[in-house]
Amino acid sequence: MIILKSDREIQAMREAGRLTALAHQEVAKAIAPGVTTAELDHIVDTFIRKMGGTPSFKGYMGYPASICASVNDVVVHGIPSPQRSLAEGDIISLDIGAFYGGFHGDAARTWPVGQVSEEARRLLEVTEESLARGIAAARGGGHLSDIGHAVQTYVESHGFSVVRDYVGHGIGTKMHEDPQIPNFGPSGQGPQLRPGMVLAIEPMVNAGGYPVKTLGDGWTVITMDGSLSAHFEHTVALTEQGPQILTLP
Amino acid sequence: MANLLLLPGALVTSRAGRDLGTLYVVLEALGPDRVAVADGKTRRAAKPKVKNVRHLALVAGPSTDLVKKLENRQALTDEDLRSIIQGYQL
Repeated sequence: MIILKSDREIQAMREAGRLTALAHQEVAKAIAPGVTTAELDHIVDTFIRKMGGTPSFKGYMGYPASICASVNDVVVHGIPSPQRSLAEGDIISLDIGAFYGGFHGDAARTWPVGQVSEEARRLLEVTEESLARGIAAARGGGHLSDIGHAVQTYVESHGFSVVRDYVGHGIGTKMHEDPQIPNFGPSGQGPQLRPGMVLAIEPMVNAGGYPVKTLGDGWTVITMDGSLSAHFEHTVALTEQGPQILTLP
Repeated sequence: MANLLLLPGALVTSRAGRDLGTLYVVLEALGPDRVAVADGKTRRAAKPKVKNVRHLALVAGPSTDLVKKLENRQALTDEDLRSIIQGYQL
């Protein structure tokens, strides 16, 4: 069941979204060769708690950290580790969730570490733009699959692929609410989009093929062919005025 | 944090509980966290098991034939389920 949010609830979600965005800003300053993903996790955990929030991911279904730190061929849910140092030329996807005022904010962004390859640079640009196109398609009166269709069309026109096995989701007092939001498929399908819906839209884009697999830790998802993967996400409220991004600083 | 998409017809394996390692087919989503699964043998389609999606790992997405069948609102039979699982084990 899709839970519609009132204007007041959306306003409260904007605060949770703002904290999530500020945490991204804070951790972005530390991204550099030599930094470990565990250090990035510590920065975010400390920051969110200092601001009066709680990291949404820690303990969620047993997830052991406050952020997902997914490097290079890791698609999503990379577990931070003191053994995983960033190197020049890496790309790292940071996914952060903050619980504040009774609601969750959820946002992800992939960053280059120093100078990256031309392919990596293009992958990041295309994935970020695909998110923008997905958000633009999230308009009242349309259908849920319009979002995924916009993402897939743009991504594939640039020679990359969209991950199928993992999807965006509704968000509110729970981090994962209905509906599921695939980043692929034909337009005009699924539930009608309505003001009051709040959606975490999150294209995951691979430089190679779309198949992925999960490692033995039960969380880390990697590309099957070892190609690079990027991930951008915003929490978005559908309003009478159109889609509004809540995860902005 | 991205959610695992478990489409009806997807082949999954249990990664927690007493049925660890058992192959199932997803029959339907029961919410963002739970799905109904069956294998057509120990768990029949008529009485599926409810599993938390975090306790499942995707093994294979639904085949094109299966997607067509589901689009036509045809229910999956125990024979369908056994055939999907056997096809993977071969």
